[in-house]
Amino acid sequence: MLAMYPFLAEASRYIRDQGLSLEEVLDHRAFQGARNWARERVFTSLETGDLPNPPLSRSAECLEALYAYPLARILVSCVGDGFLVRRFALAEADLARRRLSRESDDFLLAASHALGLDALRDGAFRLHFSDFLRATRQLRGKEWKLINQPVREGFVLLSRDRFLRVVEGHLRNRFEAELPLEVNPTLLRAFEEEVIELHTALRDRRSRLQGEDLGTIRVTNFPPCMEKLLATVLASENVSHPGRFALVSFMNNIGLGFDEIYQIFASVPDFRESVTRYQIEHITGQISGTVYTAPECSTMKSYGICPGPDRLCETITHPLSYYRKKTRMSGTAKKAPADRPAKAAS
Amino acid sequence: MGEEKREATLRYLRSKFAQYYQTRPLHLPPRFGRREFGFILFEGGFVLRHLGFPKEATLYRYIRSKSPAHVYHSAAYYETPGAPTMAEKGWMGADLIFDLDADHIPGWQKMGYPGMLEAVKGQVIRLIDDFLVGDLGFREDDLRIAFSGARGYHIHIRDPRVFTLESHERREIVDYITGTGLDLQLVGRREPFEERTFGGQTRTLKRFRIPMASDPGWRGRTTRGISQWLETLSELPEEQAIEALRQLEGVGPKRAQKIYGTLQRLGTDGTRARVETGHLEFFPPGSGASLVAQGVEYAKGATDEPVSSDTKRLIRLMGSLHGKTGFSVVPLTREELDAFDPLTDAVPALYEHEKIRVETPQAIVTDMMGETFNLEPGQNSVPEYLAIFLMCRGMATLASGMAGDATEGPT
Ligand code: SF4
Repeated sequence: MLAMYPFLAEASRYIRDQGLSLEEVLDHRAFQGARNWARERVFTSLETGDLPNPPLSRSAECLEALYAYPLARILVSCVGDGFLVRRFALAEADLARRRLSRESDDFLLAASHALGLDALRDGAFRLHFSDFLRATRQLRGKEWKLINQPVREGFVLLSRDRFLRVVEGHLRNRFEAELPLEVNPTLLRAFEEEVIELHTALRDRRSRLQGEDLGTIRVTNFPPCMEKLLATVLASENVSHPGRFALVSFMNNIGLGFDEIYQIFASVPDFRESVTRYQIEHITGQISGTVYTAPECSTMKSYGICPGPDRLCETITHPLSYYRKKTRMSGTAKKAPADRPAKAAS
Repeated sequence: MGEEKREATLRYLRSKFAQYYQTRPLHLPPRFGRREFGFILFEGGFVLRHLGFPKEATLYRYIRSKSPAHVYHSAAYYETPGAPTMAEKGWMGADLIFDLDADHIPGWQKMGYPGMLEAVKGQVIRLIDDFLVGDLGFREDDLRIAFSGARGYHIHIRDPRVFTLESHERREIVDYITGTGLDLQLVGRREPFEERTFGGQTRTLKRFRIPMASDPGWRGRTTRGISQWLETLSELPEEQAIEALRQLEGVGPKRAQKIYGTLQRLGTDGTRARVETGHLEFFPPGSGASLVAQGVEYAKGATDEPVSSDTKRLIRLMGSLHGKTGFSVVPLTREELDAFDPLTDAVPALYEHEKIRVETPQAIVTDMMGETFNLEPGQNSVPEYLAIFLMCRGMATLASGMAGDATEGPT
């Protein structure tokens, strides 16, 4: 049982009681399986986010699974990349939810208590609203707003499914907050190969997303505000509502359709919530037929999402004019590269 | 206003405040050694902040020596409250604060001071009873109420479960109270209730249903809001009631007349019984959405958003004096709040009834300590407590020759 939920305090206690240091485990031939498994977990969380969930029957398998978890965390910590941490936290929390969803209500409740949640069950699950708020911190849909919850005497009533989602959110926050752990040179050396591989994978991923061309669209011609918003979304950090609106409408205005925008956002770990399909549909006019225009600079400034204008910004009042101007300029820039506006400043 | 008179007035107030702080009137917040303190002096200027006081005695010594016009502490707890920057302070958590000021009350400018104080108190009571203790389930022990010393009230929530909530989550609580972001589909929708077949064609009849009044959260709250609105409506003169009903979508003069008739026939109890079990059949289905909007309007609470969501904000220290009124920031229990009258109860006992002479450039009408004062422009003899209020407000200066009366406090 512990092997399924290696993040519970009991599991780490068990490991501690074995009296083996992580360095020893990494050296030990018997733990080669656990190590492979850890590696697998980290790579999968970066690539698809869909961690395998094999049944654990033999006790050797359980032991491996149990050790794979701390080893995977060490590996993520060795890389020390924020994006990887978030991907890993997301994938681990998702796996935990899938596993918990097969357990009984009693078990689920006990597990939530072990995780420090103030939960009750009488018919539906009930969770203290403060825990609900913390756990749903990263879920921005209106169906997760506190005002739309049945709240009674300080507790939010939740169906089993929604309760599982909340537990997942709680775990995700916790994993993100815990990582990266401190690592020592011995551990770094032990994972040397994997760390290099992961760095390469991360770099590939970034360059794929930030490549010159988004079809016919050039990200390098984006004004600073949009460039920053896009980078933030791609790093799967939270973007404010006005920020998401500005970015999606901007991309739509410069000629990206729903599908293309959707694809860009779909590469973000928690795409489900960060920019919902509905929002993109709405802004690109799929639903109402109204196409929205990106906000002008003054509006961007008042929302606090203008990162401070660069030189070209001073000649325009709308992010779209920035893009058009720069596209024109970089068109001529092919002949006279020295004309390129100084981007190095940012 | 002469510079000298201004000086004399400030000196008077400073010494009075210093005297007040000799009486050890402060109600220090729990864990006060972990809080940042801030002060504004009568001389004006910036907030003196980033100060920490490990002991009560040091705080009193500081306050007595400066005799500040305003005293604040952070809602937050810090590792090192006295560190000069926020980053170095090390945020550990913060009380959850609500601040309700008269300017949140529609039409407050026209109410006059006593009127707005009364109105804001009503809103505070609703905020506490309906939302904080009601839905959110805080215990009265975890809740400290304080008259702000001016036009409103503060509520400090010291339930450890909320300490680590971040801004975004605190804003969610504010949204909950103010009815922001409510999904209207949740609180009322058209639903089919009957199918009729005419000559081979089936038509589904729809009606507008709202949740039961006893449903948890905003579902029940909206229904109760609609019910309360209809109740106030039935107490209005017929013409006004019909006018109000006509504001609903799809309700014309005839329809309004008819609904009004139905409401009268059902009576208050009958109407309530129907509405609170989710029935609105006596309204045209098209008016449902606007009825729900009315209900939300009626049921929502008020509170100042930035104060609650800012986890690093400074808030007035209970028991301190408000330099713009001279009133004290009075801590209150929920029970005491009912009978609390700031214009009497927030006047420190130290302020004398004895009269002193002040100069008021403008005519002033004001209530205090149960009396109404009518002052002509010019020199007036008024009780000291009123003089202090007016001087703090900047509506009066000490009349010349009075300056010597005040004993200068320790400096
Ligand atoms: S000035 Fe306008 S275009 Fe430039 S960064 Fe700000 S908002 Fe964007």
